[in-house]
Amino acid sequence: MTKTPNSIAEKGEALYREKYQAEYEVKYPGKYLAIDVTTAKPFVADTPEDAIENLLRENPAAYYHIVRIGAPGVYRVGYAQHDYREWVL
Amino acid sequence: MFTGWDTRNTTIVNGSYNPSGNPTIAIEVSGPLGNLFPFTAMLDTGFSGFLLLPILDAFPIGLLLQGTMPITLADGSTQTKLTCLGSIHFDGAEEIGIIIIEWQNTDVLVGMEFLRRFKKELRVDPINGLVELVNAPVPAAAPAPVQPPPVNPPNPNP
Repeated sequence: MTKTPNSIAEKGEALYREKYQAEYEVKYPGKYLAIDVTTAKPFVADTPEDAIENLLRENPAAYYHIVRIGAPGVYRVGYAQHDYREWVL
Repeated sequence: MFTGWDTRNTTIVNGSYNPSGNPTIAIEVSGPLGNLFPFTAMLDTGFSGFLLLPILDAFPIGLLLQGTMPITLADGSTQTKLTCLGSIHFDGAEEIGIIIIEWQNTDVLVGMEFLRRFKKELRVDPINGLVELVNAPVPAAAPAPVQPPPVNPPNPNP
């Protein structure tokens, strides 16, 4: 299967929306979620690093998507960008 | 008149300014291969993350680009970025954090999470050409809660 950053992110966002968002926004607001996009297994932690490390400990080869629960982005940057490209992993 | 900052009991790491007039520091980055790669990173307090690297710099380090995350841009829109875990080596310490990979050939950025992880205070003085990172003061411990004095109930049988 060809993976692109967008395909991983879309799968991760869809899994989050369908399986976890409603519950986690009540139980874990502000925490970080790493989702293994192959197994759909969620890993919630206080920091994104901890969520990723827990996920990779279980599946070092996993492709994952990270979400800050209840927020549109995990981090903010001080610039805007309108020329956006896609590339293949 | 500027007489300088109070630098008692602090270790100062000096930075500099890039041609655009933005503050920069020297860092080293490593991935799973362990080799250190030097970079001049711009200190961007508008960036809430740890490190942002252009993709062409990520490959030689051997970073494993397995993750994605949405980030919020300055105009409020969100964009998906590739991410990975990696280390920054700075001032004799190493911290692991999330590296955001930018496909464009952009500046290397360190943000607020970098300052938090390395417990640094940033001092930027463009008038005097100073960029300094010092150890952030340790927050004072919260005072113990004061026990309210026992309330003596009125004696119903005086």
